[in-house]
Amino acid sequence: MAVRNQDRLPSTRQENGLTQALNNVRRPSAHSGPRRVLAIAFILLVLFASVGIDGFASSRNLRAILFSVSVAGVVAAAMSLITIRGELFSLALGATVGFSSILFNMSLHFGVAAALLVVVASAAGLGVVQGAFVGGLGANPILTTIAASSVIIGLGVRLSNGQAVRSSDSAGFLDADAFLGVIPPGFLILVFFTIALDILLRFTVWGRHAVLLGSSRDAGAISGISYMRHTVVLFALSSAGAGLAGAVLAAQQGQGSINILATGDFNAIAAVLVGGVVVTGGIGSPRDAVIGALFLATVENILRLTGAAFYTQDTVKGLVIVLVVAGPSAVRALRTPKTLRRSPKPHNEEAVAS
Amino acid sequence: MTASRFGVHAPRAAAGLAFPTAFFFATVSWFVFVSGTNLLTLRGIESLSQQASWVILIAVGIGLTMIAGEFDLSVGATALLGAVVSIKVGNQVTAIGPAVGLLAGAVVGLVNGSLIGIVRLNSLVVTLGTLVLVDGIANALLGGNSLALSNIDAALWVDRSIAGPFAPRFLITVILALIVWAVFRWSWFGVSIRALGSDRIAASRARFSEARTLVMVFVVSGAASGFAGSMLAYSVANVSPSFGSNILLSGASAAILGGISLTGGSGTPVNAMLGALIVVVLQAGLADMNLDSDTIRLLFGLVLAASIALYGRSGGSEALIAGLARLRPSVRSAHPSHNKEVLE
Repeated sequence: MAVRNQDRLPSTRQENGLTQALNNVRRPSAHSGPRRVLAIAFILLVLFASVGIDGFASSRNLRAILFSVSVAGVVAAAMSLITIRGELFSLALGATVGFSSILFNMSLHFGVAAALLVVVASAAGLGVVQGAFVGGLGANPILTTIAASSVIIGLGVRLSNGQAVRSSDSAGFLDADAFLGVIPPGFLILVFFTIALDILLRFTVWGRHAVLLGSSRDAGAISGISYMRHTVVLFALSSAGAGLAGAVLAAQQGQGSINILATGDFNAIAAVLVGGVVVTGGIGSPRDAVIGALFLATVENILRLTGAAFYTQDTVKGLVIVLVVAGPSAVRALRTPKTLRRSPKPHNEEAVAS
Repeated sequence: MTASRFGVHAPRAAAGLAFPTAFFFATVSWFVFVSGTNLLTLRGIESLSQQASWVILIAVGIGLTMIAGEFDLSVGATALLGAVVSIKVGNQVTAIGPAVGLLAGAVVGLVNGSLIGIVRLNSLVVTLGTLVLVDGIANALLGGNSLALSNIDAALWVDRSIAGPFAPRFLITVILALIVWAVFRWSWFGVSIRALGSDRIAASRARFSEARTLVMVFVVSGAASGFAGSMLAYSVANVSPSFGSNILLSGASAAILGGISLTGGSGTPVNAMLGALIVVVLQAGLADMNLDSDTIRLLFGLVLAASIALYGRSGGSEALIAGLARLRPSVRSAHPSHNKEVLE
């Protein structure tokens, strides 16, 4: 058994153990370029849209953007946890949002606080199961979450009988009017959630472990972090975030249904990547993902104002993902002399194997 | 341990068929003798083979990428694109529709393969990006509506029984899958797929071309998905935006249930075909028990989860045992290099 564990590592890593693992810990300072590019693109986009597009620079439109980013941002922040920890993405968050929106409306008659508790706790429970698969059995996170998403959708449909679930009770503070006329309550939740996650990653032991494991799983293992326990908490936390987003969305729309955020996973992934969180883990923060979500919500808002169809928006999103992921590496690969290109990148195979 | 010095697990490929075969016969007998469905009548086999027509192709495509140690998440979107393109072309010239669908799929595969094999990006991330992109393009071509095939005779022909219960669609699929298997079995291309999947670093040092092999693998996977999509669209003479939403789930389940390990290097296209048959029997059997499609989807998610747990890492029950061992808290397993010292 023990020998098998060892066999799984790429051969070069076995030889140098500690040194090699610590060398693989990436330094965050090496990666501020994408964020700067995003900031400049964002400012230019807003400037041009304010001048060129009717109805963009109005408080009503600002409220619409903040309204749509409140849910997308929470999901993106929840997704970024998984990406930073080095588990790529979850494809079950969209389904969890749908499931939670149903559950929120069904339990709203107990009161808003109780409904929130029920929703967040059960979403965390769904996450624990996924985390146990990934952390305990070493299953691939993307495939595990594809399977989980299919189970959650099935559960949600059974729970709601395939109908949209409405509630006659008020969603309390989640249903309140926008503060100062532009800030919807969901956006405040997004701000609190993002700050909480940022503090978690930066100032707590669990959070520092998350960043370390994302940089180099080997270095984390040498430091004595329990990978299994950490992974279970990770997926529970991320899934609970999706549950919170589901509650906000249910309050916003006054109804809950399983496919209320059907493309939520892909939007969140796009936001994470655009925000500058690095796919291989260890670099970036939930804040970056939320800024990415804000950027994408603005792009979507502009496309909508100019009357583009929804599938154009999807195509733009796909292009953004491919360009952000492939662009920098493609440029680097073309710049590298051919002789140097032969040595394989270990992280490529490692990411698939994990 | 089967892994040699260079980490190439050759013997496992053959041994890997035992469990899926047993599982296949167990499923069939359960549905026939216990739950009493009519799977083994002429009519039952006919509908099974129709369903298998697309699952086999998708499973062989995904399976090949898995053997190479990668994964293709874009198969569902590629199948949709193949379906849309083939019906658009097929409404002009019926005969070349599926060929154009295959070509469109191959182009998607070429993009995937270049980014993965030449630029060396993570395949899950790349194919996730092309999934969204290709889905957007296909929906843009559809314009949000569904599209019908005007030539109904062609739709009837692909599903007409010509050899016993088998229709042309199924026969073409089986021939294509066998061609892929033959190339995999006897050509150097097959050897390099297994080598890259077993140990990327050792394979590169042995001068297997990572770029060429991975581009080929993803082109085959894309072409298979595009063709499967176009044949499915021809068979129902229609394509809508929700077409093929369960293609990825079925294909991935088939490859994994067939015994292809996610770590790469083990399994053959035959495993994928066997897995596809298991999936088809499960789907037909469950549908016959009057379960609605969402319950079937839920059960399929559980089946996929169970098979990931079984084959998730290093194939078969080994992974389960290793996984259970990891559940035990111990200092020894904190780092692999410690294990070595303890053992020696």
